[in-house]
This record gives sequence, structure tokens and C-alpha cells, in this order.
Amino acid sequence: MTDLMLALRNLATKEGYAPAPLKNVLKALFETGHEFPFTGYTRKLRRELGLSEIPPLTISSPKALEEVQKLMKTTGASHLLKSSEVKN
Amino acid sequence: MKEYALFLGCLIPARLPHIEAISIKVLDKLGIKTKDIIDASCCPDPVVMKSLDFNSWLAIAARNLSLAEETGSDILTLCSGCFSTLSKANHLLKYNDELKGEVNKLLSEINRGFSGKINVKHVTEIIRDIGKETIEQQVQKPLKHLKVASHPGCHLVRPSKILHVDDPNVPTIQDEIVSWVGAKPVSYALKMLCCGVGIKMVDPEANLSLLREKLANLKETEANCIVTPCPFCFIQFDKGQKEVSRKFGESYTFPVFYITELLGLALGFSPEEVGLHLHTTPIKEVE
Repeated sequence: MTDLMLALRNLATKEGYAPAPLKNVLKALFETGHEFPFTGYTRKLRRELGLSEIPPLTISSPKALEEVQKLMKTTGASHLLKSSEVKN
Repeated sequence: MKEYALFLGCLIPARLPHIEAISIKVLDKLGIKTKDIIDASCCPDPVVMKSLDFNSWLAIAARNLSLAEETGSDILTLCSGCFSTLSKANHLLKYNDELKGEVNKLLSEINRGFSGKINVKHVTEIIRDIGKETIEQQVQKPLKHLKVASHPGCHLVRPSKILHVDDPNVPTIQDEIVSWVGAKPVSYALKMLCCGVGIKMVDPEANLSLLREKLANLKETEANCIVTPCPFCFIQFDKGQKEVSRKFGESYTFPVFYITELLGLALGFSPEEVGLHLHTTPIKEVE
């Protein structure tokens, strides 16, 4: 049942029926490699906690982001961003 | 000293860095070293990304797994969502040669590859596997005043055929740890009910109704706090209680702990080191 629902959701997305908030997650992933932004407040807090201001993740590596974007382009996920129309 | 590749994900480093900090300290005290997985991205999200595009979800997860493989260590993750994505992707690719071939073709275009030589562990499993004896020996401040309702969440134990963490219907993994630190585990009827956070983006009303149902059930018990192994559930309880209280004209003020915060207090770290001052719902009676 879970697999069936997943397949239906994927089909619905291809037909343009993805809810807008979900598309925003896709957009954030494509643009930064992450779902949540590292804000100025976060960076300050991380410093105060003795952590690096930004961890060594995709967010701090243009090459890593390029790899994530290439995968999203090849699989077709980035094309979903082009459809701005959201049908609910 | 056992060493793991720490998969940070997005939510903890970007929104809850105090959980990252105390988790590393607690693990270190328990003899577990962690190292970074350089250039890792979002896991990606096991609900949103998988629902939108399965192939992209799998390819990005495989890239993260390949980065961890380069470290030569198993993955340790603090997030149940990351645990779900990485464990499922690892399983799919290890046991489905056709899928592995397709994904490796994609990964080859960025000069990477998945080989399937590592495993994925959640921090709760690692703490459980350290064992009662070692944990009890390390406890400096038994948390005798805490009566703890454990919220396992959806992604730590299911699907059990892939994750092998605990009984998917009656999980006891957190309750065991709670008892090892001197606190009292509290049972309740709706333990396995989702906290609601997974549907927040598409149905905020249903999200709060689910949370209210869970909180109302907890209020009928002797529980005086909640513990969870998931940062999404943590935020849902810690911040969501306020919204539920306002919306339904009720009052819910359960202190909420992420699992390593509870360990941290018991192992002798101060409330400030644990990051309790950064919680939305105030925590009293922990000194």
C-alpha cells in the first residue's frame, strides 16, 4: 500500500498536482543542497555553542552543490521547478 | 574507541545546533568518536522528496551514502528522517542489483559510486548497544524526578523488516535508556500515534489535532516530560504545545527532551551545556 501511494504521488507530481509547500522543499534543495537555511541567527548560535559557523556540508561547497544539482537535472526533478502552476 | 561518520542532515545543524553539540559531547563521554561527512547534502527528506520524485530521492541519498563510504565508517545519524532515508536507500541499493546499476550510472557522472559496504545507525541504537552497565556507570545525576513519556515517532522503528531497530508496535528502546539514567518510563495508550509534524505543510489543522490527541492522552498519565529521538518530533512537541494550547483553549506545558539531552543531564552536563535554555517550552525541575 505504501509503495502504491508513493507511485501515485510521483505520478500526481508529474501531472502538476504537487502542493506548493512541497515544491518549496524541492526548490531549497536545488538551490542550497539543504531543506533548511543556515540563517545569521543559526550561525551566531553555532559559534556560541562551540561549533563551526557552517558545517562542512553542501551549503559550504559549490562543487558539492553542483553535484546535487546535476543529479536533480538528470533524474528530472529540477524540471518540476519550472512548472509554477500548482493545482490542488 | 569506535568511530562513526556523523550524518548531520539539515534540521539539527540549521535549527537545533544545541542538539548537535550535546550529542557529540555525550557520545564522546560514552567512548564514541564522530567524524564529518564532508560535502553531504540533505538526506533528502523521506516524505517530501520521495513523494515528489523517487528517482531523485534515491540518487541524492546514494550520493550521501557514497560520501560516507569514503570515510570507511558506518553512518551515525541524529535524525529519524535521515535515518529513514539513508537506511532505506542503503537497503534498496544493497539488495537490488538492477537499481544499484541504474543509480551507479547516475553517480558515475559526478565521479562517485555506491558499493554498499557500510551500515546506517541511529544514535538511539548506538546508545542502546553501549548497554545498561556502561551507561549506569557513567551516570552522575540520576534523573529520579522525571517520569518520562517516550515518543518513538514514525521513522525510527518502521519498516522493521529493513530497520531492525525494535518491535515496531511495542518499541522499548527509549524506555530502556530512560530507566538506565534513573528516570521512570511511563506507558500510555497513544505511544505509537504520529505527532503530526509530517502533514504540517499540507494540512496544518490536522497536524494540530493529532498533536492535541497525543498531548491530551499524556495529560491523563503521570508523565511530567516527553523524550523523542527525532528532531522534527522534538520541534513539534516543544513549539507545537503552545499552538495547541492557544487553538483549543487548553494548557500543555510538557518539558521536551531529545534523547541525548536526557543522557547529557544524567552524565553531568549542565542545563546550559545541554541547551535547555534554547527550548521553547521551559524546563523546570532538572537541577
